[in-house]
Amino acid sequence: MSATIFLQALLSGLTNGAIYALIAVGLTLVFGVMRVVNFAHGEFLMLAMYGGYLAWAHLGVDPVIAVALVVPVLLALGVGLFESLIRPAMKVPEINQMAVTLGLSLLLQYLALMAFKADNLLIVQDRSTASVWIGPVLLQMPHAIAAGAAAVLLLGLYLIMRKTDFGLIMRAVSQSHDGAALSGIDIGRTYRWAMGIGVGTLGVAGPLMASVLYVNPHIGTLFTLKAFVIVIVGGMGSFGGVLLGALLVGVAESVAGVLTTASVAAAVPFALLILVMLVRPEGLLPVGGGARA
Amino acid sequence: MKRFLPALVPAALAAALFGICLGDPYFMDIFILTALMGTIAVAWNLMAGFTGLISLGHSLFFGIGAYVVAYGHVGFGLGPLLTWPLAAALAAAVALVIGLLCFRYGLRGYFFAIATLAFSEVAFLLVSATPWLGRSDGMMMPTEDDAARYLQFMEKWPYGLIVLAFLTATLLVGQHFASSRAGSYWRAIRDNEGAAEALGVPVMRYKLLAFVVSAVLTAVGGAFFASTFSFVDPRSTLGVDLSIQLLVFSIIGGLGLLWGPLLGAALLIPLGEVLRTAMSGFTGVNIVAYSVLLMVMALMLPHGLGGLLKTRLPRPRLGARTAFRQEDAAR
Repeated sequence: MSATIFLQALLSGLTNGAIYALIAVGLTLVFGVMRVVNFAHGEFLMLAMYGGYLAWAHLGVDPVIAVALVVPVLLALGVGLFESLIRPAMKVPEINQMAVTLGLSLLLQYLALMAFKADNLLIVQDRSTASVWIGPVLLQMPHAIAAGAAAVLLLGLYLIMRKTDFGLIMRAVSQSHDGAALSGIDIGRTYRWAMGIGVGTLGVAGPLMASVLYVNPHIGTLFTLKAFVIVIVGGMGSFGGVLLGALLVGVAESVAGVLTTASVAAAVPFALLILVMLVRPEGLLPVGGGARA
Repeated sequence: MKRFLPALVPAALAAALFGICLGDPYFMDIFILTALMGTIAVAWNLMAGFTGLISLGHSLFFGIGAYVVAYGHVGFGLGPLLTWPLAAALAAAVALVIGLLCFRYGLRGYFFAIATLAFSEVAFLLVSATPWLGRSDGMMMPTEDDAARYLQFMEKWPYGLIVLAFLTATLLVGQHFASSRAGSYWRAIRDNEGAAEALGVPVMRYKLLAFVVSAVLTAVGGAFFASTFSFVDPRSTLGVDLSIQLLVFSIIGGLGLLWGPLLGAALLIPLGEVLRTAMSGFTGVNIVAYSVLLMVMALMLPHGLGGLLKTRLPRPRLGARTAFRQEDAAR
């Protein structure tokens, strides 16, 4: 492998990684605060991608602007999801929780299949084929925009979590539900917001990704699995861990794609997950020194 | 004999259904599929419902069973007499290794579920890329001259008979463990692993036992699948969908009961068939109905239909009644 090919793989791995981080951060936020894993996370991304595609195809809205339309919808969907399914699910055993979100994942996939058919759809604009040279390597415009937006959003979320009272409340609840409740924090309200933001971040990712990757009703599953990998590799509930995990997964995948076949490369993130779970099950950058499940 | 009643009654019911389906190849097909999936779900539930270990990677063991039989046949001309035990042994070894790795760090709940899912995904993707396993196109097993030795029959009913035997054996094995010391240990681990360990339950050994027993039974199911359809491919034998189905059947039928998952499969698979044929114009209507049912059941009826049924049944022995209530309260 020549140095240029390696650099190219590294760059596309990093941009993919930034997008993955944007997808996984919502999952880790919800897990950190509520201790619930949402198996339908990727399906909400799928809906956001369709939202971006439809806004472009029918209203002629640029995907970057469509973000402003899709985010409120996803935020509302997240709050609705919490009120309708997750709140009651938190009272039943873990296995029933899994069944609920797995059921939702199937439901959304097949509703989308009935509504949008199984066609692969992609936003194609003038800038879709544009690209910029960074030294010897090439960066495609839609990827650059998505990765840039991911970086901005992650930074914003990080500042919110670290610097505001709202972030303090979120962190308090994820450290100890009882302690937070005793300090006068409204736990139910915090859950609702965590779920709203956790799903709402997908509203940023969706429209931008619809110009990077074909959207079809089953695309979500792939990203749910990848988000799991990232979140566990990085450390469940950990913010920095998501970024590290996402970049690692993105780069590993893209370098493996150069070295081997596509199918083997697709297995690389899972191999990475297994490795991390066995050697460091709390993740690479765990919250508070690593709490095991 | 009496302690095997919870295994023998469902097995007898299944045998009666087999008799009813004998005349019609279409019904026999549905019976075979239902009995196979129900039996594997019972095996899965030995881990989930009895030991509290939720695996989302059981398709790995089903796939091991199916691919050992298929590759043994295509590559070496081996018959089921040799490949079925080989499949079971390989599944046991793989379960042992994965179990040792996962339990060493006490992976539980969501983490164990996702770790097992990762193992099965790796297997799915690697098999899809392996030329001598037919990649994602799968492998067709050729028809042999001495067909019966390869379990190749023209009729459907011999397969029905085999799956009936498999179902009965699985229920008996399950009931044997559930009503012995191992079963008590499993439930103790499920309800409070720390307390069980403190009381001297060899947690590691009994979790591994549950994993290996469950994996072996699942692999036999996969072996049966390969022998029946003479065809294996990654999507139908190693895919995540298969693992999720096992969870669905168990939730609907009832996790706390040996025969619960069987009940779930017996309701959902024929129902899915009916919906699929009745609504053939709309792809996916059956899955929409199925997933809504799953969500509602998981929230409203955590013990499943089997649990509901069981509380309605007359319970002659006082001891058993309090035992069930306690189990109820613990979950």
